[in-house]
Amino acid sequence: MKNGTMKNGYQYWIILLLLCGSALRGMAQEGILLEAESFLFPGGWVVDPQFVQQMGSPYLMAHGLGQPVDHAKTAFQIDEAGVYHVWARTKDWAPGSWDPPGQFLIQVNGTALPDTLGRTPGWDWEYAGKAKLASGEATLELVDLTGFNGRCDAVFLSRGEAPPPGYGKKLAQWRRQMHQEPMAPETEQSFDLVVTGGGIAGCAAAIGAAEQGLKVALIHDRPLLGGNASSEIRVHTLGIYGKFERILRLLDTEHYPNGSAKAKIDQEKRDQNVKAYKNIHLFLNWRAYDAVSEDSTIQYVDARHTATNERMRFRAPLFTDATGDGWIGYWAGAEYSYGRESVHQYGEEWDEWGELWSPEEADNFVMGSSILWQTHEGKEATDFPQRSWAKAVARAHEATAGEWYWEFSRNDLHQIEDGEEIRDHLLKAIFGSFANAKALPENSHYQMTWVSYLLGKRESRRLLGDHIFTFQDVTDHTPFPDSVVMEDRAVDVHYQRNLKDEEVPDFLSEALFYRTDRYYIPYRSLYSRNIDNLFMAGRCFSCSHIGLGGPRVMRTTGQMGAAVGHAAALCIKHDVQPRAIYTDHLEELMNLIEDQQWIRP
Amino acid sequence: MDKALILVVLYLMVPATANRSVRSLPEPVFMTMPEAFEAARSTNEGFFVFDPQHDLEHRVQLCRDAKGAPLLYYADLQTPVCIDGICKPVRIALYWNLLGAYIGYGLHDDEPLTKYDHDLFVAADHEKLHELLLNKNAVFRRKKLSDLFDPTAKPEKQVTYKGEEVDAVSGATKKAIKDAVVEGALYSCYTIWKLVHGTADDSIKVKLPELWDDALARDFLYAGRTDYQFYALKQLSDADFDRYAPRLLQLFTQSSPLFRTTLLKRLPERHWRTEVWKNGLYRNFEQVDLNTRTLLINGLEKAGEEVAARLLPDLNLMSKNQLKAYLAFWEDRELKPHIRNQLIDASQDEHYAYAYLIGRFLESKAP
Repeated sequence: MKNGTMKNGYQYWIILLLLCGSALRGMAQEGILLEAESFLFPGGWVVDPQFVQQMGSPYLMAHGLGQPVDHAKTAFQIDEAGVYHVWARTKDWAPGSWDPPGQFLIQVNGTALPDTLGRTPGWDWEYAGKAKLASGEATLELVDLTGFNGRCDAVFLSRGEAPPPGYGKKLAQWRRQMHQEPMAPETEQSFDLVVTGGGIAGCAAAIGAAEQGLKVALIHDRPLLGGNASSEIRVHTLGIYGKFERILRLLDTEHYPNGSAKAKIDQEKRDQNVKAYKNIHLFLNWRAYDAVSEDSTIQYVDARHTATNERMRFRAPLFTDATGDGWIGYWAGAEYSYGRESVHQYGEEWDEWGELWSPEEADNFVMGSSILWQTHEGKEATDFPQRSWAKAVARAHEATAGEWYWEFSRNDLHQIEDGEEIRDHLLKAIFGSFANAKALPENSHYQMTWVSYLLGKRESRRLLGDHIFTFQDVTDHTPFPDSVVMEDRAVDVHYQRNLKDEEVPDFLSEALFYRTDRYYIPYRSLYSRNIDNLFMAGRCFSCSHIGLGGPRVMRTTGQMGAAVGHAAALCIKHDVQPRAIYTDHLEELMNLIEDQQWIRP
Repeated sequence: MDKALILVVLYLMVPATANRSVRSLPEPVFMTMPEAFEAARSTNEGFFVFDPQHDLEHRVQLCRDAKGAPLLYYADLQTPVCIDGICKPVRIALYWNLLGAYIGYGLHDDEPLTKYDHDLFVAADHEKLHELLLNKNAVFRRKKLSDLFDPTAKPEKQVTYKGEEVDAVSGATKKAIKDAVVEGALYSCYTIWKLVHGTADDSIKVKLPELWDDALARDFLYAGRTDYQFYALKQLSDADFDRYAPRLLQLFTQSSPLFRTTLLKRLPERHWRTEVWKNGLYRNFEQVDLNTRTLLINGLEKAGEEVAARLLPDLNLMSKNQLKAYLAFWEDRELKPHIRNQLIDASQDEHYAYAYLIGRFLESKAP
């Protein structure tokens, strides 16, 4: 186990933060609540904000690929000396008849508390022990014991013996009280366009609008732009450029194998290019948590910093949902769909694949999410431990590399609501399969170098627009008057292989390709049909499950974003909502899209 | 006379194959439904399919068994395989099942398949051709003959046919295609694949409703082929789910998760409450896959409380969301003492990861 070391300037930071009070997330009379994501020094723990809407908060995770990570540390002020009971909100992420994988300890003022944490199956407070504390400053550390994804949402110190509420609304209410948060965010800013989600679609939307002179806010819950294409997830971009080659080349990737470290080169390019636009106001590490509409018009989006928990309200006449999961539309009351439609709903039958392609009866068995990972062959033999909780998922599967077909979907799981379980299942599959492979002499030099902890999602909510893009639009090659996106790529729909053969592990998928000539996506699929000022770009655009199969790749979603950015500029120019661009200004939009190809940045 | 023309004339002189008994056809080189072939008797029923490649029509014949049940289709045909205007005839018998899926091919003893350098097909070549024909999505699906070559690639060898140099074999064949076809027989492979998957397969499937009756439904259900079973499942009427319950329940345990889930989606509501179906489905809860369990739990609203109570000993087989769905079933129902007691026991099961959810549920149901 690695020991954490105090960094230079640590004392200075403690004093500074204690003075301004921001090290204390909620110091109420009843106790001290320390949000893990706000720790002064996260050490080797990573901030995971993916599942805030399900479990209540970003959290710290010890993503060490089997090697315990450096301690996470923070400091806080004790006003009243005495014995404090200490709880951590955590979970056993692989519950079963084995040692929990993500165990850790809490150390207060350098002394470890007795109880090991990470033992309960659902997110809840676990008791760590008690500490006798003098008044004044104190320190607290998270001590990872395993390197296998232990996680901590928050630590609570109390003179009382009862833990806080563990989950649900009661927890959220208690948290707000502890943080003494007013209902509305403390600060507010106004823009011409607020784009939420900094994947390729969101970036392209921001650039498209910024180039036309709009003041744009781009809110993204990660430190790096690109979403699935980022060096944190590492899916290469596919699809054609359509009319937006100039913009998309600022953002896309080379065609390296999925998971390649070369993603870092494109990451640098992308970040620099977006930051070069002076009128794109970039809010990295901000995660939106609400959008409020009145009279079918979004008034604002509220977001929270994933580490400091600072909140901000973003106002604008126009909003773009590029979150992938369609969160802005969902909160604002936009109509949406989720799941696989009945084959009859839009006439999407492909006889050859029957139920695997499109079911007779609608269901929730959508395409799954992936976690990419990478290994390399080192000079020396190394070990990788096999763990029962990983073996239970991997079974006999052996692998020294992953690819797109490491994908997980199951009909009792929702790709948004159960995202954490899906991610964790894939981690078990990866660790277990790699351990199986390492047991073979020929793989003794393989080392695991990188495993993403961010889910690469394929399919989630689809917000409904004036046009719902379906398989029929692909097979008919319909040239719409408002075709702003075009694609040649096959309709590519996945299914879990174990549906056909239950001996295959449940985390492997197969693709069904319907190869086709060029097809088009109309502008009318890129704005909400019932929220007047909402655009959408990315996988949450208006389409059916099968319709999503082709254009879900990132150059295509980038085209959507760029088109939306230009449409937003016309909305501002004419002081109209997105639909009016189709009804009253379509020629101008199409000309603008045509002409922007020749802009010199 | 031009050599190509001579070959076409020779081809046209071959007598039509209609009305020949299937027993007179050569033994198939490959046949994935041998039992159907053994029982097959040729009929006069059939239809013509058009081959736009060569502007020809071929007759596809239906075969039935001795009792008259439809079994398969075949076409004993001859087609020219041409390169740059030079043609040679290829004679082959093709077989499809009643859904239009390719199932095998046969050859006449005196007309073996050859490559362009006159070598006969060896066993491995036949195997490769069969594999290719089985693949409805083979690389030929959206290709024209001209798409098969890389015009910039240099052929590894020049091949001649009847003294003429024939271009574009092996080396010039696009790499992705080269691996999928019999080397030196690209044109034959392409031509035969197009005959198998051109229009014949779809035409056969379109004809199936005309042949469909109770006897065929039964044959399909009892066939060992999953494509037949799926087709039959989709045709079943409400009453058929009574009639064929034993077989359907047998398939429920023995077939793939995809078949199980499709069956459960199609099962009419009233059958969920019959003893046969309730017992047949839920007694296998432990054996079936997780996706099927989800549908069984979702089906409890149709199956009723008594069946739901039967699942109490199996709670520890449920995923978190399945358990939530199961508990939701009881949400607005009265928990009789024996049910409550079993839930209490399950909530205290240290080996069940989600026992805590049962505890929370019981708390919420507390009077």
